Amino acid sequence: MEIYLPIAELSANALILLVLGGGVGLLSGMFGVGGGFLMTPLLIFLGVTPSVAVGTGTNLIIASSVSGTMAHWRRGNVDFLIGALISCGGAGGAWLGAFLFKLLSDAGQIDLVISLSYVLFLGVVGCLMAVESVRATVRRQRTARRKAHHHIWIHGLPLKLRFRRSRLYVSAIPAFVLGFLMGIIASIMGVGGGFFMVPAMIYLIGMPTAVVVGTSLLGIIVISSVSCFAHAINNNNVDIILGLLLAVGAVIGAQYGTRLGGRIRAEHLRGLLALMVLAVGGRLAYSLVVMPDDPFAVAPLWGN
Amino acid sequence: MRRVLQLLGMVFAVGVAAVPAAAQEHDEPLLIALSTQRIEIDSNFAGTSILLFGATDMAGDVVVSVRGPEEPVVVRRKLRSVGVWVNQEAIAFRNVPGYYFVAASSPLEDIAPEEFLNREQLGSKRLLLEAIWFDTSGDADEFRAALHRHRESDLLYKSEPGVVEFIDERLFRTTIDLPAHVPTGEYLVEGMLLVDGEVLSTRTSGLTIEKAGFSADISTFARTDEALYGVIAIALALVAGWLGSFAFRKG
Repeated sequence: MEIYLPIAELSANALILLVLGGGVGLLSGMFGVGGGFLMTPLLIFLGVTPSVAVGTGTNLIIASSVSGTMAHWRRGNVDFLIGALISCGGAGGAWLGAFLFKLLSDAGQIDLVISLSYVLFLGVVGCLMAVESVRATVRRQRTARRKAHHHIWIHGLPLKLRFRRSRLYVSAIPAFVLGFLMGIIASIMGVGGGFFMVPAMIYLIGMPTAVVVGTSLLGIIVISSVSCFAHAINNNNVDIILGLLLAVGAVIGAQYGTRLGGRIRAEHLRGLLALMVLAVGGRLAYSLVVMPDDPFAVAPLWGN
Repeated sequence: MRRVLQLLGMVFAVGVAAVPAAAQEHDEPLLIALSTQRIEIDSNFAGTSILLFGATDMAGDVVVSVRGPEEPVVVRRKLRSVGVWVNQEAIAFRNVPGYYFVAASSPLEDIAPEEFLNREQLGSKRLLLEAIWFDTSGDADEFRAALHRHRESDLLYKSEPGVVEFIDERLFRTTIDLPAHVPTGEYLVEGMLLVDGEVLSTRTSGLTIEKAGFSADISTFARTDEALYGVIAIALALVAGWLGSFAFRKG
């Protein structure tokens, strides 16, 4: 069924979009990641402009993070106070990010910034995961001893609050700042940012692993909603039709992905994910380095 | 006058509704009419052709031009920097037509002197592309050439003028091709009758190209009522996510 995507301004087969969403959902369910960092580059490879890929990505992430948050909420794995702090910071960051996006877009540099951010993030995350996966596979038997609590400067910050669910008494500032940074990244890259937020919450704030995923997902709902709204207002790059078709596929795919993921050994899963992340990053890096067919590009001049 | 009636007869015979209001002015020696004055672009639009008919009351050369809506355009050039191709130079041009077509009954250069063709901007190469800001030390003509190249590859400009074909001594016609990515908006169609390089008569007609259908409604909505569109986009995504988790709750 051919369908015209009004904002992306191209025709696509609705079934293919559902399957594409399902595929990314399956992977995100399997690996426990949001999938935005796969979906946005995939859309760019398919010919959607980087701007519309990012704007629509924020829309898609709302849907997938809602279903994820509900699942964690039912198990009581959400710290609402930390979630609220991340959301407040994140809302500001997402708004600022969408505004920076517009400035870069007017300057003709947004495509480059999106690609470079992806190459950087996917490269770093992919390498870290690959190294970690190989290490874990090599010495699976050994159990590393880790300090239960180690003090760093962050724990000396003021504005301390008691977080019941996380059993913490720490400053409110790191969660807020983390949310703010996540918001900027989410708006510029069209990702939820779980792959960045989860380790930061564990190592910087010291949250227990069990509540980290549910809490970060709650933050991502708010961040991606604000980001989606800011993009719709400033950049007109949110395609409802494209977003919904991908979201329906992704939500269904994620459910099956979760079940499939349980059957594969964790370090192998991470190794596979690392390969995928590096492949997507490598493909984007290639398109930046290779000589373009035509160095000239024509665009309407906005804000004349 | 007989020619005019003959033309109108022909126009109606091919099932054409649009007749320019100017047809009522009988004393003009030139008359033009389009096979349609309104084109709706729906999701299946893959380009179309329209016919331009006309009649003259005297022997001469006919030049027809079609200009799409104008807007400022920026042309950027990528240069290699630290191994990466980056947009580094740019020139913005004022009032660039989104579509341009010209057709003539003889080669333009034989009809009128170069000075006249330049003044009237007849022929895509003679379009006045005035640079309004520079961010380059390079040659503006390179950027102009790139703009032409892009518009030609999108079939929005043609490097060579089309042909105005005389059916008999007084009746003429030409075909205007509108490609899939033709910009929406108001078009200006102009016909000129020249005898010995002098303009004897000029006629204009409008052409409206607009989007239609469900997709067009969404795209218009997204641009006119951005805040509400954003809220609806969020609400739909929230509902989709919630329904998804609800449907799989038992699984």
